[in-house]
Amino acid sequence: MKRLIHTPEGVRDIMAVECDKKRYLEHKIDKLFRSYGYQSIQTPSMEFFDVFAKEVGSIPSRELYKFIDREGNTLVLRPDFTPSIARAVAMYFNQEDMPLRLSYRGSVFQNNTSYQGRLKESTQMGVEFINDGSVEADAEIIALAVQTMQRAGIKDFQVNVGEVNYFQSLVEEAQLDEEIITELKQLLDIKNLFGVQELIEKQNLRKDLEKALAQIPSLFGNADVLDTAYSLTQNERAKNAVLRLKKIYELLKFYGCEKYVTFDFSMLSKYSYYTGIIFQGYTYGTGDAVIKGGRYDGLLEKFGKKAEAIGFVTEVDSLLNAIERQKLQLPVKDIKTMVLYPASLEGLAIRFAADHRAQRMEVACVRFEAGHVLDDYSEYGKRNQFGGIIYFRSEKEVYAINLSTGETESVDVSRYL
Amino acid sequence: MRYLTFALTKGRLAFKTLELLEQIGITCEEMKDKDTRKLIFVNEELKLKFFLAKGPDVPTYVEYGAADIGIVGKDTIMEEGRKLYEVLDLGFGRCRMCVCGPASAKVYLRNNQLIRVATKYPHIAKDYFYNQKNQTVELIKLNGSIELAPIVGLSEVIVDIVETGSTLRENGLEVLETICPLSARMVVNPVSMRMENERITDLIQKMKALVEKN
Repeated sequence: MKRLIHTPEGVRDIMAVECDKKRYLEHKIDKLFRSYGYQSIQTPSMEFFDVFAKEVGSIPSRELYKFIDREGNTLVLRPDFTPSIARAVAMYFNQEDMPLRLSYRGSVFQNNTSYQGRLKESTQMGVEFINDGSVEADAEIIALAVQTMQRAGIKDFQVNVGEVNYFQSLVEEAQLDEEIITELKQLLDIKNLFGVQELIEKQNLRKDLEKALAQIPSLFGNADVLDTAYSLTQNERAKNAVLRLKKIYELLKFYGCEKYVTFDFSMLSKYSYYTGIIFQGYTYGTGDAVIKGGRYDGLLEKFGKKAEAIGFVTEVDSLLNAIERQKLQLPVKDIKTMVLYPASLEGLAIRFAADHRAQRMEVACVRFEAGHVLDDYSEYGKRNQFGGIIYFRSEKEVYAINLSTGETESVDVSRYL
Repeated sequence: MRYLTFALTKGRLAFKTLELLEQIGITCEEMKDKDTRKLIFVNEELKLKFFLAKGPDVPTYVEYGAADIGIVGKDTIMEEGRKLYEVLDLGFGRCRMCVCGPASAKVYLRNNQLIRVATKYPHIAKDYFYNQKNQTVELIKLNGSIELAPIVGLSEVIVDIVETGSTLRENGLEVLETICPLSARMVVNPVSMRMENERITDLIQKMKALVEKN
């Protein structure tokens, strides 16, 4: 029988240096989240289908991995953390009305067939800041997004910030038909500036409204576009949306993060649960955003708790790809040590290894087998990310071999005898 | 400055695109050499790179960011369904996506019965029949000479691109329904659009002015 030992399409094994780098990056990001006082939360990989149902505004149903449990309930593998966290918060913190800061890490699963080559299981890390609807919360979350990119060592990046209320209030004021709105959204989504202009011109709108809507796709860039956006409309809600972004921008200066932030009023998200600012982090080397987030003040209510909330997610696998393709180095070094000993010296080798492990070294004991030569073990060490070998030839002859330089020096082990 | 990379659809579309680019001062002499075996062409002065690819591959290159900008037919964009910005209708390569067949096949499209549809564009055909016409069909994917299918009895109708309709007429077929108009489009990678916003926007504006003039 021919055995299948490869993984299904869209999922993969990660190992050796790549796995070390991923762990390292996750650790760095986790430390950053903790430094802002976020506490960890773990939610199950599977949830009831209702958590991701259409009304919640998450991923379309056909892109979910679904299955049926013994009682006949439909379960799904989580495609997105935010609804899971919202559910958990509604469950455990129903009476809490003070700010909650939560951070998570884990796999998400999206059954997305149309993008061959995209991972169906990917790692996400993110934060959710609940029970706080303030501008300060918005700024903190954007600053965290900027610093996540910085901690990953990325220098060339942007965090694009938009506000869903600007577009929505203009569309409402214009009283456009549902179909026209859908078409307009599609055109904005593909940034078809001229398509938007043509469509808007056909609607016979009030001149100022026509101008504002047609300009939306070009409202992109640094803080100057905020003034342009503000001057384009008389709509109270749209003006407030711009003023909020201005305040956020001022606060970001205190964090020293403002120069990485650009504004984009045409940004739409595929998640319809967003109700305020939305933002995405971009860098070279990946075709898509590596950070995605926004304010979702209505989502928790769907699970029975009225609460304002904001958060973002980092696509760890895409971020690693970007780091790799920009040829940036993560300081993951080959620092493992191999204690290589003949069977006769096992007691000495074990004592020696234990003592060094206690000093926080990474030590693996390897028995020198008959039929092998020292070179075999050097090669083996290089294949498996060892930095060096402590070679016990006899009680008197012990050598430290540096695998990257090949340097050898003798080691005194008399105190272990 | 970083290189901006263009993926062009091999053939007439690339030729027309280069003509347009030349009019706004972007040239690539290397590419005019018909005998060259080079795969990638560089304009060092403007920091631009060009390469030719098969139509359906252009959206793939752009989606993954291997190319920042692509020039490709709307039919390919619809069929591939990739995540791209489709910023500009270039106005050339105009044609239509149609359902075609012998006149006698018209009746099949009216009473929603199960029919066989041969096409090079299964996604477009599926979306049209399932989501717009609510008709269940059996799709047969072919790779060329689609017109042959109804003639030899492989399918009742076909979904294909129609430019002048002369191939159809010569084979006793006609356009039964029009799905949508098509033309060449300029597509941009979403990350490039943000990271290189100024250069790309400038290019789009210039191209737009030119398209309007023509």
